[in-house]
Amino acid sequence: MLRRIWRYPELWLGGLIVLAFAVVALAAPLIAPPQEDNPYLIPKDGFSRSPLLPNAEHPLGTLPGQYDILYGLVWGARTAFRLGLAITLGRALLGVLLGLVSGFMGGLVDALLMRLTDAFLAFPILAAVLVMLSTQPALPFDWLRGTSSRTDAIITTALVLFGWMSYARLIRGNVLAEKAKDYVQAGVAVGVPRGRLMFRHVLPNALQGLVVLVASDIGAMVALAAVLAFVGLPVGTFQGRPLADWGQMLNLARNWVIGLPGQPSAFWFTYLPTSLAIVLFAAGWNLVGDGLRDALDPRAAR
Amino acid sequence: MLRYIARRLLALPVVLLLVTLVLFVLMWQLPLEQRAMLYMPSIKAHPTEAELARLTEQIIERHGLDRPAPVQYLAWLRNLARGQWGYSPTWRQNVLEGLLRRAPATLELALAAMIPAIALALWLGPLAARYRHRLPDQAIRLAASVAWAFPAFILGLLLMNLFYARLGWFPPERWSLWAGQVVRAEPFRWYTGLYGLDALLNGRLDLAVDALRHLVLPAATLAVAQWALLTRVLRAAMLEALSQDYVSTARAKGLPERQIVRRHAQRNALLPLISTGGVAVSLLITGTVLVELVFSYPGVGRGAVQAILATDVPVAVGFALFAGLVTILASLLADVLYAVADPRLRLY
Repeated sequence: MLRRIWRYPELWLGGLIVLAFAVVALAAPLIAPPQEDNPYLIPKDGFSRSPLLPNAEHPLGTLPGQYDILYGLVWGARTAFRLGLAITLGRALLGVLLGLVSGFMGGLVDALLMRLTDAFLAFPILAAVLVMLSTQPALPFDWLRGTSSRTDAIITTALVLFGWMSYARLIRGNVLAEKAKDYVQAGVAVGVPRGRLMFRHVLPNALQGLVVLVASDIGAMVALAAVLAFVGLPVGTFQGRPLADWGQMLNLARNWVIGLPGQPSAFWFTYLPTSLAIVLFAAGWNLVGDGLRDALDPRAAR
Repeated sequence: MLRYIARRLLALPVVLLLVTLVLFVLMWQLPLEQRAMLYMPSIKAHPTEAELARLTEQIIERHGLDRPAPVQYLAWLRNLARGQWGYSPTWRQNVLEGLLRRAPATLELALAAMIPAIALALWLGPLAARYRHRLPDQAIRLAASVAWAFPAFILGLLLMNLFYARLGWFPPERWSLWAGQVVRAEPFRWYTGLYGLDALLNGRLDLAVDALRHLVLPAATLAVAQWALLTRVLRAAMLEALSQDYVSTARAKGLPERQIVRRHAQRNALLPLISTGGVAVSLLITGTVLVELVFSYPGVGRGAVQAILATDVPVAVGFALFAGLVTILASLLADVLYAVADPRLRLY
C-alpha cells in the first residue's frame, strides 16, 4: 500500500501541503500569540492607510490600516480549516441524506428529488449566494465563527443549501447499485424495517467516492469564501474590523496590486503571500482528492 | 433517440417550475414593499417618493400581494413570462432589459475563453490518457489539478500585475478611451453586439486589434479553470474507452495504435465532454462574474454584482433566474446533442 502511494504523486504532494497547513493552524498561538480576547481579530498597529514593508516587528509587513499580515495568515489557516470542514460537512450530510432517500425510495420520490437536484444545480453558486444575501433577513443563529456577523451566517448557509447536489447524485447512484444486491432482498424478505435497512445496511455500503468529493470540496470552499470577500461582500469582518480570513485580507490588499507608477511590484507583500496561501490550500486538498480518486479506483489497482 | 429527447423535454417544465419556486420561497422572506419592486413594470427614470409609494400600492392591489402565496406565485410567473422581471432602482430599467443589454459583452468573453480551452483540452486530455502514469500524464494531471484549484480572481490579479502594470501589453476594461468614442459615434454600426466581430464587419482593423488586446487577459483567466475541467473529463473518458473490449479486439487484429486511438477510442471519449456542458456553463457564469470584476469588464456579472451590493433585490433575483435559465438551456442542449451523438441511444 505504502509503495503504491508513490505511483500517485498527487496524493503525497497534496497530503504534505495539507499537513503543513494543519501544523500551522494548530500551532497558531505559538507562532502568532493573540493580543486580544478574540484571537481571530488581527492586531492593529496604527492607523496609516498605506501598507508597511516587512520589518522586524512585522515579518511580512502590514496591510492598509496596519493589520499584521503574518498574524492574519497564521490564524487564517484556522479559519480556512473551520470554514472548509464545516461547509463541506453540511453539504455532505444533506446530500447523503437526500441521495439515500431518493435512491432507496425510488418511484415518484426519486423523480421529484432528482428534478429538485437539477433545479438547484441550475444556479451558479455565486448567483445563489447573492440572491440569498439580498433576500434573507438575519438568520436566528450564527453557527460558524462565534461572531455576530449576519452575512457570514447567511453565506455559509447558502453554500450548504446550494451545494449538496453532487453528493446526492453520487450516493443515489451507489444506493441504486446496492439495492439490486441479494443482501437487500434478503433483508426485505426477513422483514428488516425499512429505516433500519436503509441506514444500517445500505448506507455503509454506498459511500464509495464520498471521501474524494469531500477532500476536493474542502479546498474549493475556502477558495470560494475568498472569492466572496473579494467580490465585496462583508465576509470575515467583525464589528467593522477584518478577521483573520485570507479572502478578507486579499480584499484589503486589492487596490495595491498594481503597485506604484514605475514600481509595479512595490506592494507584493500585501497580496502575494495571501494568494499563495489560498492557492496552496485549495490545490493541496484538490490534489488529495484527485490522488484518492485514482488510488481508490478498483480498475486502476494493478 | 426521439423518445429520450422527448423524456428530457418533458422534465424541462418541472425543473423550470422548481427553479422559480426556489426563488419565490426566498423572495417570500422580503417585506411587502420590497416584494412589490419585483412586480414593478418599467417606469419613468426618476419617480418621486410619493409617485413610487402610489405605484407600490397599485402593484400590491393588482397582483394580490396581500393574498395567499400561491396567488402571488402565479402572478409572478405570469409577469416573468411577459418579460416583466421587475424594476431595478440602480439600473433604472426593467431587470430583463438590463440583463440582455449587458449580455453580448459577457457572451463575447465566454466565447473567447471557451474556444481555446476546448481546443487545448481536446489535445491534452487524450494525450495524458495514452501516456498513463508516465511523464506527460503526470505533468498534465498535476497542471490540471493546480489549474482547477487556482481561484480565477487571484490568477486575474497576478496576470494584471504582470501584463498590465509591468509590461503594459493588455489593458483592462472592454475598449480603449478613443475606441469607446468611435463605437458610440455615428458611422459605427452594431450587428451582433460582439465588439471584435462588429469591428471587423465595419472594416475597422484597428478596433478589432483593440478588442483583442482587451480580451486576452480576461479570456485567459477564464479559460484556465475550464481547460482543467475539460482536460480531466476527457482524460478519464479516454481511459475508459481504451479499456473497452473493442479496443482490445482492435489491438488483437493488429491495427496500428494511432488508428485505434483515432478511429475507435477518441470518438467515444468525446461523449462525456458533451454531458459536462451544463456544469461547465454554470462554472463559466461564476467565472465571468469574477473576471469581469477584476478587469472592470462591463458585462452582466459586473453590472449585477454592483447593483446587488447597492441592495438591489430585483437584480439579485433576476440575475439568479437568468443564470439558472442559461444553465438549464445549456444542459438541455448538451443532452440533445448527446442523444444525437451516441449510437446506443438510437435504439430508444
